Amino acid sequence: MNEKVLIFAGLSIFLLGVTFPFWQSVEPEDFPKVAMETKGDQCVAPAAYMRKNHMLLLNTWRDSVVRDGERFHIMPDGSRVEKSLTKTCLGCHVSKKQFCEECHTYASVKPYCWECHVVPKSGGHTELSGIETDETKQKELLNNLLAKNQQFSDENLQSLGLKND
Amino acid sequence: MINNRRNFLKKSTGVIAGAGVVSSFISKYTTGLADASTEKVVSKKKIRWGMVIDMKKCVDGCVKCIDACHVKHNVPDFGNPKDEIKWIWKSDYAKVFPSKNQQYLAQETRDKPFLSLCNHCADPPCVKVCPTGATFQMDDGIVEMDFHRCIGCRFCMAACPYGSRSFNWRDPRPAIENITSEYPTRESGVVEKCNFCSERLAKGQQPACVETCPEKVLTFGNLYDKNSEIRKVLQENPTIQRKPELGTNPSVFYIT
Repeated sequence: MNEKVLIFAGLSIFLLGVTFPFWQSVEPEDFPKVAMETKGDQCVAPAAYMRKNHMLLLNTWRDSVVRDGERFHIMPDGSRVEKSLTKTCLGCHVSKKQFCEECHTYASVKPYCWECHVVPKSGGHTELSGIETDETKQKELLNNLLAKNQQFSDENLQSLGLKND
Repeated sequence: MINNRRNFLKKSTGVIAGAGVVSSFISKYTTGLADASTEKVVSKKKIRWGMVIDMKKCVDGCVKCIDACHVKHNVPDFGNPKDEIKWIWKSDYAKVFPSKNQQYLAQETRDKPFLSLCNHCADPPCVKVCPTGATFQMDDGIVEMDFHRCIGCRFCMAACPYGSRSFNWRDPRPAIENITSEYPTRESGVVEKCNFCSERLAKGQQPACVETCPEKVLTFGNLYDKNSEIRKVLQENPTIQRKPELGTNPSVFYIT
């Protein structure tokens, strides 16, 4: 009988100890604050979703751009942005240090995005709107592309800093 | 039913006859398809990008197209042939067309450095050998690289008959003069090559080399579109292709 009491007492102390952080809801004091300094007023997806699943979204973007050639993302308000970490994400959240590194350093996550992708010197917001038809230039090329992507006038591309002359 | 020799023969005859009927239907259908198009069908979207290089117009010593391409795509320059990375480059006629050992070829043609780049073959051997699917063919015929998936095995380099692929033996970043954030760099252990500027095509722009060339040496367009400029050029000029005997069906044509 005495043995049983000892065993259960030991077990319950062990369980209490193990589950302590859960029922005490211990929160770290130095939890990083994500910088919300942004240029635009809307994100490609709701903030709560992005906080949890940005890595999934980036992977989906990567595959659809590279492998299927689908390069544009429809924003919640219906406008279109390029599926691009450097141009769209960092075009709005201008500080990579605050926006990416704060959390990744804290969580000890080491994504290898930046071993190839290049951090833009100045964030360029690349919202593409006002799609027009320019029939004089690159007619053949544009006609062929109509099936795949919508076309943009040279003016638009220039004003958005997408076209380097 | 008793499983004897007689029953077995009855059943197997029936099965063989049925299979024969079905296969004849299938072959009739598929040969009909093959007859319908003389061209090799790559794309469901009716696009196959191609390029004509008019070497008569190409100026000796001019490297504007090469510079434009290499700047736009963060191609490093290590300054030695062992580590060399190239997307578009100039090479001797004899190296570009080794199987065209024509007698009494014009000296001018023989001496000219020929522009070479990935041929974006309709039947690309590099795609067949890639074990990870990092090199693949897009619907528009472009042989594309997914740098994320490249494991650096270099099977594709062995398979490519045109030497169009380069391997990053070292970290390329220190060897890039002005890094642009418009296009990623590569890391060491990754193969790279010309992508026909698919990122520019998506925006309705011509490839960088085509846009830059002051002599209009390069004509780019859709080979499937009979009214396209490139098809007109191909109609009007006799052209040659690199190693056509290999059956890779290159999308790059040369006017010599």
